[in-house]
Amino acid sequence: MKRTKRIIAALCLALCACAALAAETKDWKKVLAVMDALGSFKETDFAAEVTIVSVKPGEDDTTYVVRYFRRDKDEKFTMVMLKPDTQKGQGYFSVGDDLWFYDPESRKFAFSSLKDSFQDSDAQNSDFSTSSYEKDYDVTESSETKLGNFEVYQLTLVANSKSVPVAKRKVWIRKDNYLPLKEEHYSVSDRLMRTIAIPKYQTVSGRFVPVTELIVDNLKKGEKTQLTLANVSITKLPDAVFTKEYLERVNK
Amino acid sequence: MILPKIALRNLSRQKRRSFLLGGALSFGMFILVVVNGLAGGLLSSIQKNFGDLISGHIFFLQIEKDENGRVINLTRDDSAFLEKMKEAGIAYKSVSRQTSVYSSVLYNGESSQRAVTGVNWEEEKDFGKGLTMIAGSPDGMANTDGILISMALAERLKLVPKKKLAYADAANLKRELKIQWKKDGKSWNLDKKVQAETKRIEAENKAKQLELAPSILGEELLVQLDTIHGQKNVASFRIKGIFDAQMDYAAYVDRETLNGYAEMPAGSFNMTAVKLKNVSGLDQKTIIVQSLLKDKYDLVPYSKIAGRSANVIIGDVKKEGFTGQKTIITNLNNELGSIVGILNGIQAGCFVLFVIILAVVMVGLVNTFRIVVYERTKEIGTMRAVGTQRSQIKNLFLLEAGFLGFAGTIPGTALGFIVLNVITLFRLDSMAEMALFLNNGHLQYTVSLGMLVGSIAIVIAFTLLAALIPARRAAKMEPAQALRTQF
Repeated sequence: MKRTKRIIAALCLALCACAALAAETKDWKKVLAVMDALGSFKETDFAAEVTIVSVKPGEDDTTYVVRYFRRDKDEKFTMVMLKPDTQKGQGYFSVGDDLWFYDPESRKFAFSSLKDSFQDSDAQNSDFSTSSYEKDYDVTESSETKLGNFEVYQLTLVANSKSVPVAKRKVWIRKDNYLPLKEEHYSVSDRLMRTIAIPKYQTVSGRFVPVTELIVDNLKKGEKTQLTLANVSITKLPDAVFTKEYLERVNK
Repeated sequence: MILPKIALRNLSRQKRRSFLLGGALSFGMFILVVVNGLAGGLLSSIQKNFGDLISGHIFFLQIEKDENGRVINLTRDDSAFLEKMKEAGIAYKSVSRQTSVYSSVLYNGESSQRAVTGVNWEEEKDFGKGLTMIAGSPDGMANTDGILISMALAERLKLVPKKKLAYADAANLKRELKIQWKKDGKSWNLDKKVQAETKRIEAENKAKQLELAPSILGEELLVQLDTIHGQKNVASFRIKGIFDAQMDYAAYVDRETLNGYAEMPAGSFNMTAVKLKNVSGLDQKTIIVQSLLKDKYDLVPYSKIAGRSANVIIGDVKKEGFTGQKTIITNLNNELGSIVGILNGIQAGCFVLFVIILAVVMVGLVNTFRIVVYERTKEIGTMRAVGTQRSQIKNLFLLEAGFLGFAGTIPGTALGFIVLNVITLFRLDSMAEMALFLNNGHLQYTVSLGMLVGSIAIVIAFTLLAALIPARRAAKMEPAQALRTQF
């Protein structure tokens, strides 16, 4: 009996080792490329209405609604604030790493940074731009685990250059289609800064679109931000939308 | 000697007229002294406070690009700069080489923005002595994870209770006292009681803060910052001291520890700040040092530095594009930029107003002296008849004008100084937003002796000019004709 137990245990260990080996020998760069492809819309444009609810302890929740347009082919995005009324008409326009904020009151553009927070929420301006896991990160650790009902790979990604704001990420991706379900962002000193959960995807014209994201600030206890996407569209948009003039025009 | 006596007697003959003309001149001088004195004082306070804050008056900093093309502010060697300062005979009190990173300081979910400044504590021994410590000490800060924070930051992070009553608490206090006041048949002064109670509670809060301050030493604070390459980092520091600050702007740590978190090379810093012994002629001194170093470094020309802060200069250089290393030599006036511009503008505007007042008074003076000449025609005729020369008649009127001008400036100047001294008696340090403009909690004034003497000279010159034409007319009068004149 003891012998049988030992054999079963040895078999289990071997299976685990094989699974681990299989995970280790996976071409993670290719997986990252798939993740990039899932999150970007190179061959089309992307538009949605995003509701951002920022929760801070001891303060009333703040809700922002923005109209969001993205053209990944040119690394551009445009956002126009719809709510709150006090900030209606404010907008953002980004090309590559450059970002401008438009204030309709002063009718002026101010140069901003993708690394800054969006308004006073836990979302960052860079959350609205495209990024590349494959180009910017190397997988240093991988394992297989479960996240809720999903079988996932848990990957540790370390930035391969200092040009990206987040030095280390941990991502949980579905084993069947590599959709990211959760991310943790770590500082250069390896301290957890943000946790992002993506509990809900929607299929739009055969593409997966994350329609709900929950961002938790791990450094400021109790602070979190929820992003909800509605009216998602991946049809071609006019070129004029991706210009600074567009932000001026929508305010006329 | 007789002419000045006659001139003074003539002035006193028409006391009301002399008083009105002198009063107008006095008013001009009063405005000039008060506004210029206050603007000069504000400028001096700002220069002192800001100079103390960033530990210097002339700054040397260098920028270059990292491997990803990001512009980074990294200064490693300032020996040539300091050598040229000495060569130019610009004496300085101290040299500070600090790293400053604008960051979020976090404690238990609370956060506040601060310039976290890395100090080389071994090199800058006097820096710690300049801090008014409430608890802990800057001793032994070198090469540690210690952080010195202001009491205001401790308040903001809820490490200690707030000293000032929150708006809602103040409103509650007033409401409660009002109920009591009505119960007592309005027998006491409500406003005074509210003031006294507020003061008492704030004093109690202050005492609580002081009592609690030592107990928060050793607490861990997180500092969220960007490295020089733009990556997000979180530093961990432990409170080693709490200081009282008129201007709450920075928290201080060890420079090498901060450099580590900001991924700056050991021994490097953001800029060299030199505190001068004499701040006057700051722009000229900066230009001299620049010219001495033009062959040594690729300098940003002074024309692109004047009136701009270091951040704006770096932004402009970035936009223009550059290769290698760029060196910026700038000063406090440029760093203060628009504030200095506004205060200089106020002083210039005030001077223009003064000249306008003088021009208006001058018109009055011309008319007055024409009337005086008309009134004294017979007297002039008599004087001429007894042998008074034409030049003496002219000088008599000019002396009257000169006395009027001089006498008119004195009361205005004196009153201006009295008002300035009264203004400086008020303590304004309870207004946090005024901190930059105060010296030990008070407004100060600075009246330049040159400006004062120059203004008095201008007033006298204007009055002489106004009297010149009527005086010449009086001098040209024929004695016989003057004596025949009938009014």
